Amino acid sequence: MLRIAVAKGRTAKEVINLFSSCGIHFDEYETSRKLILKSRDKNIELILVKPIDTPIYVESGAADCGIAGYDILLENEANVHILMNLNVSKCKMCVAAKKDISLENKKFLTVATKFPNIAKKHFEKTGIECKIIHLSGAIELAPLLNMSDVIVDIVQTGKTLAENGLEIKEIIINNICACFIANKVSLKTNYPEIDNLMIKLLHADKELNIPV
Amino acid sequence: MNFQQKKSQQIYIEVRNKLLHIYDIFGYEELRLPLFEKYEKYIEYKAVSEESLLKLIDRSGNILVIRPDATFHVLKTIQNMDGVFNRCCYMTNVFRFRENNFEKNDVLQSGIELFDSSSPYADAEVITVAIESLKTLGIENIHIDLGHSQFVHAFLKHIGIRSDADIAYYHKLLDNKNIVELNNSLQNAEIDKKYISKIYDLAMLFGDYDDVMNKAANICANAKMEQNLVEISNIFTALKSYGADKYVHLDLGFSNPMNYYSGIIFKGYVNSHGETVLSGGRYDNLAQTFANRSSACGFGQNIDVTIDIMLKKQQLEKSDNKTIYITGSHEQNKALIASVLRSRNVKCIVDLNCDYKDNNNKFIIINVGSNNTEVKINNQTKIYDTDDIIANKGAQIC
Repeated sequence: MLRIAVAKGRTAKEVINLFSSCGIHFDEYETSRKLILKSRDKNIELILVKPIDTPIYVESGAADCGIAGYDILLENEANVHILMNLNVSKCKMCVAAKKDISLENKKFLTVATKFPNIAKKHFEKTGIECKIIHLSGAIELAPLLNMSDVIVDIVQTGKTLAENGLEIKEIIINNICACFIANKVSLKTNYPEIDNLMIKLLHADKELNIPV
Repeated sequence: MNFQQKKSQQIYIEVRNKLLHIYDIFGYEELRLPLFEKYEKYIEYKAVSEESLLKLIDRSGNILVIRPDATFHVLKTIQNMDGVFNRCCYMTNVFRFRENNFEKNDVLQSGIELFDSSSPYADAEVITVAIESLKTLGIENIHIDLGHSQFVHAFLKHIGIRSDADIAYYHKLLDNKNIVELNNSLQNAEIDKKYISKIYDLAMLFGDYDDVMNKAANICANAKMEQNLVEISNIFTALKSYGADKYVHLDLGFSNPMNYYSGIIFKGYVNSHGETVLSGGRYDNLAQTFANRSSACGFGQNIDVTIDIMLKKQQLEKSDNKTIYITGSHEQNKALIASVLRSRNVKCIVDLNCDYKDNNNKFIIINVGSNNTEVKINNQTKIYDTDDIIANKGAQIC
């Protein structure tokens, strides 16, 4: 049996759809609030976790595999195998600020973000000195209250930004999507099962973009 | 001391005795290793990353490194010893900075080092000791992955990746099997198209010996890589004579950007446990530089992980032990069934007052009558003939 950690919420919903198009069904998902779901054929157990925690479950071996956003993997530098992209939860990592602010010629910025490591690396690369304010949600508030100049966050449709009078100033990473990850030991000891599942997932979504 | 600590303390003593015994019967002698080394000397060694070193300053202002790995200190210790002393082992603490959790900084490690022999049988001996030291602890499902430290390196050089920074970068991606980032990087890299699919193959080049060797032949690009494969196949032949080959699989995507290992490398896992329990390999260059020995091969085992595996195993075994609760009206048959079951080493409790109510399915319940016996396991009830059970010594129940 394979144990797969998945971020609960929207990612879980998309992943469960993807699984059911591979013929792996999780019937309990709609009807119950269980955090551990068994597939109909009992071969896969899905564990619903907080998005930011997904790599921790996989790294420690509590789950054999996981599905986590590439943003979270980059931020945590998790010690796991990142085996393929899944075309779910697509988004991009952006720098955003109030519409009337220009970032040109800025030497110093205060940055509010959920992703302090990614933000720090980005501004080190671009040569702008910055002070990071680490928040855990509703990042858009920070520039509105003049707590920060800009934010670094993931953007899906841009709707939340627009409604709060912010706009994208710079794209740090385009094309972020959920990745299929595996524990380093489990990949070896459960390879036939993991390989089988990856092939199924690959066929389920023709747009998946890894060469095999 | 809490219960868990007390348990692991007992297991530690068992592990220590059994491992040192295994090392001893292979002829490895225990070394006592120094705790400190001058920073200037340590920094040449480069095997442990700078930021994970723990340091202290003595009264004369010298910076001392607190032993971050055992091998360096083994090399330093045997440097001045008689050349005949070729097999040594240790069991000691190593200290590395890991996150801000000081309890994790202190890891108990044991291992062996074999000097001055570069034959495939030397590598096979080291791997065999690694396997035996897990087997002696009753650990099953052992999985050893064997690879060659130069294989990936030779390939990267061959396809035109030259700068040290790029080589280190691709090493890291391959070692982490980070297919997603490889994908992004290769699109922009100036690498001949015909090699790109081979890089993915290289990352996933692991599995059974025969299978991997066949696939590896297609990836082999030059004589150096072929030489690496010949070394692996010689070691595999040697492992067969030790009877250790059934535990060993290959992973040729292994790599070590630190230039620590010079020949084979291997890692040991236990199925159903997510951490590497042991790792090792051949490090001739270091042995030459730091101990003036021609060659060296060894491995280190993480005792903390080993103890975790054994604790988990004990818990599983405990939950497997079933207890049978015998109730019912027929006193004589109850006693008879209890004694046949106990002869099979099954724990039985006889309900003398006939008033037991099981509310949480803790036990298997047997309700013994004069002719029929009800057996209730997990809310399912089956009925057997009482005499049959006694005649078959309880085979139906066990």
